[in-house]
Amino acid sequence: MRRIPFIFYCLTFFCCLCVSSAVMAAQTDLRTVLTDIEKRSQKIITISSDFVQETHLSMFDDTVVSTGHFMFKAKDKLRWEYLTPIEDGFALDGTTGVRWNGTDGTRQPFTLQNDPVMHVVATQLLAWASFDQQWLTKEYDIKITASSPLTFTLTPKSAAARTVMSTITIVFSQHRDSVQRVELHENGQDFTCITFTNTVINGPVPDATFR
Amino acid sequence: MFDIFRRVYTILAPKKFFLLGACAVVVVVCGLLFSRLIVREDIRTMLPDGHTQVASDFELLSNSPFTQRLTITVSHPGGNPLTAARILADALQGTIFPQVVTGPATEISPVILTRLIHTAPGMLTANDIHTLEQKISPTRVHEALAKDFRTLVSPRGMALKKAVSMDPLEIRSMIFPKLAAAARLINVRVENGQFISRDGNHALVLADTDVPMTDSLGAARVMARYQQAVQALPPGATAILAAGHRHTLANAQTIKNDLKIILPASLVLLTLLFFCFLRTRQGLFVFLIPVAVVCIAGVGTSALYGSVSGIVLGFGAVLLGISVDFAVHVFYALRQPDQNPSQVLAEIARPVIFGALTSCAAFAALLLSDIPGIRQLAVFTIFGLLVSLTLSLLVLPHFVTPAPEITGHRKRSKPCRSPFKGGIIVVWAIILGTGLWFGAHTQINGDLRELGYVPADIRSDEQATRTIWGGMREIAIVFAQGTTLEKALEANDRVWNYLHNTEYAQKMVSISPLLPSRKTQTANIARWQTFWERNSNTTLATLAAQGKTFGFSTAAFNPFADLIQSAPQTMTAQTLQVLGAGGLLDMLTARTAGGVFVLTLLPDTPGTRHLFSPETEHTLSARFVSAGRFRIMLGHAMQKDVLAFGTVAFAAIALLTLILFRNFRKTAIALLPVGAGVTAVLAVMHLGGHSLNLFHIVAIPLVMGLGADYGIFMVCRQDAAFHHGTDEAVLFSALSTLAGFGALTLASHPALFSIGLTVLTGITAALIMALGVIPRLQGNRV
Repeated sequence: MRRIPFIFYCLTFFCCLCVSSAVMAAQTDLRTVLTDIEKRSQKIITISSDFVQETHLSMFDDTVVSTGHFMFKAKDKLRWEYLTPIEDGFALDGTTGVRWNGTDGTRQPFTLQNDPVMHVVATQLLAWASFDQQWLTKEYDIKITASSPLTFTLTPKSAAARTVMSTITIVFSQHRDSVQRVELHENGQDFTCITFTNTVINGPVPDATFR
Repeated sequence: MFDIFRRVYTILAPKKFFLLGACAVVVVVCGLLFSRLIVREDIRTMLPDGHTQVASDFELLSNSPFTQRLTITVSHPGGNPLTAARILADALQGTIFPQVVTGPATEISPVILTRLIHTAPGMLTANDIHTLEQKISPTRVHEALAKDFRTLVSPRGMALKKAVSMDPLEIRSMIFPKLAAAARLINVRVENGQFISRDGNHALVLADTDVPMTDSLGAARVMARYQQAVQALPPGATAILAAGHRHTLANAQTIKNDLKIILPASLVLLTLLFFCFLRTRQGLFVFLIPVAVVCIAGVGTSALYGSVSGIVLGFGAVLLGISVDFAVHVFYALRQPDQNPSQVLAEIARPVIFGALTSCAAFAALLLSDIPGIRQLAVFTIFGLLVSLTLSLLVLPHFVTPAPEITGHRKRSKPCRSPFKGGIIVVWAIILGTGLWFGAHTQINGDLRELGYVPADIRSDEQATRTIWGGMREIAIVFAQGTTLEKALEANDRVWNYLHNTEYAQKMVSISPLLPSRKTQTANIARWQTFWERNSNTTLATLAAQGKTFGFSTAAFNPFADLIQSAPQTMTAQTLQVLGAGGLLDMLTARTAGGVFVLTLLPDTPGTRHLFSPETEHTLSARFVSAGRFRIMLGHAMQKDVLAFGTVAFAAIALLTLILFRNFRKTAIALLPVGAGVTAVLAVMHLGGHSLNLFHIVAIPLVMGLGADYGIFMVCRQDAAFHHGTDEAVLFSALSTLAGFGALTLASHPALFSIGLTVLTGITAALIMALGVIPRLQGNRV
């Protein structure tokens, strides 16, 4: 039997060392960045921002562009409001909320217990707004796909969630203090892109906004 | 006739030590067998059996998936109760708790919604199709598409896209209530797949066990396992338990603790009586008789039934304390100085035998009961009384010698004031009048919970559980029965249709809307297909035309076209499993040897109870079972038993007494202690604000039997040519009974206390009547 040269062992060991160091560095880097973002987020009490949403769905002949306003107040208050082309939205305060339809002026209260879809939506929005690292890393495989601007790509861990959404891309502002753009990619060609502008951190946001 | 005892005495007298040896062997053998008896510790023996409604209701309740469930509330101030609940659930999971849940069987996810739409045709009723007809008008289609557009643009759009393309007209809105009807819970919200209280401070853990709630030994195992699991909770977290097993164990422990007080107290009192009344070594034989009797009666009953109930054994042993009375009378008679023992025996045998027969008759009335435990108790007691009678008349006399003259209680009869004329009528009128009045005004309580001891900590934990989660344990269950699941589902559909139009429609939990029977689904699907054969083309055309207004593509609703034009799927138990909702079906079905039951849950109120008459239940092939109705029915069964026991026992005692005396006056006098004893029990019950329960009912024949004994002996003493120490014997008998049973009033456990109170009251009244009133009515001796 031919003997394997000693140099081969050395090379193999060296390669393993390099690969594992790179993996460890990447993990350390991701953890550092996530922790950094989470620390910044912990200082955020309120967020107020305009947004432009582009909805690319095969069910529509054309891209639907909508605009609106988003508000958040730690730790469980949300307001997501469309201003054009529809005037719909919802506000959430804890586990109860209200949905409104600007076309007919109706307001419909809901609870997260009774509206599972709103429960999913609210849980996602709150986790992103407060950058709940524990929840996000539990639900998603997170990768840094660009460092400037900082861009994460999130892939749902749950198979059930992956049937609805394949990936989420989150792009932070240059100063990494707010989210600039979110892309939600579904299976197939459909995706939604939301761009946030005029973001104000820790500005005054009355509680009544969320009722 | 009673001369036979003289001859038997004469025959056995030379062989008395052989007789003693033979008795000792029998008692030792029975003692050994007694220690190996198969003892069943199950409260079920104290519930009616056979084909009574109470019995079948209890059987159904026992088989429902909720009975064996432990409800655990987990709190963790400063921590996360959900995490603590999961830790506890993991620690509990195992052989004793095969199923532990912390969250609902299913959550309504968008994926489930999409799948449910495929099975919608089988679920939609005629009313739903009527609603659907309105949804396909151009105006309503426009409105629906406007809503769909808004939904797709909103953050919810991604989750609901498939549902919208398959169901643009929101047919799913007609399915939500059907799913909610099966998954409705009380005062609970769901967070991260776990049950949590409205205030978010408490999490819920539900642990199912196969150990019957009524099994006290099993309950000890369940509680030990629970206590072990609780140790796994993180520091600061606490758990509150509400479970029947906890009651069972607490009761068993309370009885043990009570016995630690009662037995020494009885022993002290009986020792005092011994020194006051008997004061001889021969007197010890009297006390040995009940010990021998319990062993022999236990073995005899077990031989007859195959096993013996622990409850019967416990109470029976207490009841057989009265078996000492026959020995006492024989002892006192034989201790009289200067008497021929065989002659005395022949004379005393008559009242002793009739006393035993009246006691047996009183207990034989218990054989009429629907409650197997009471029937077994009757057999056990009668067995014991007959053994005691035999030992008292055949064995004991050989070991009792006449006392020296100085210790005798011999008192020659002397003239007495003349009897109180019309006294018997007056006294009986008072007794009957009082007894009937109190009898009519005394309540009977069929609530089994009242028979048990509920410690303060269990009471407060159950109250806390009710406050946090609502009255989730106060539910009524409608059992829809069938030989197969399909047949049971058909019955369940009938129950749903019956209740659907009542005020309880929104409060009931039923699988029927989500999983109708195949028969119902076939009818629903036929209706759906007929509808779309008429309307599919126009509806699709309207959708296409109106959809352009909102920018929908021409292919946007192709899945909907497929849905209404293809053969619909039916919902089955397997489909529910695939949808992840199999837990709902498991929760709402029960299988027994008698068939399959599909359950509907309702609030347990007088209103819901009123909805289910026997005729309605027959029509629906369903049974309404609730703890509230169960209590009422058990109360009625007990009321029936009380009347039957009372009437039959009294009639039998009266007849035997009449046969003995062949004289109405003497019979009426001899029965006075019986009437006085029962009347006093009823009076004390009513005046003390108590209601009669199962254990009072068991104790009343004892009062009647002993009362009859006292009366018979007191009347017989008048006929005897000499004094047999009857007054002392009756006094000693009554005092020993009071010492044994009166001590039970020291018990914390309601069952022991009930028996103690009944006997204390009844025997005291009977004693006063026997020693205080009967001599005055007889008028010739004091």
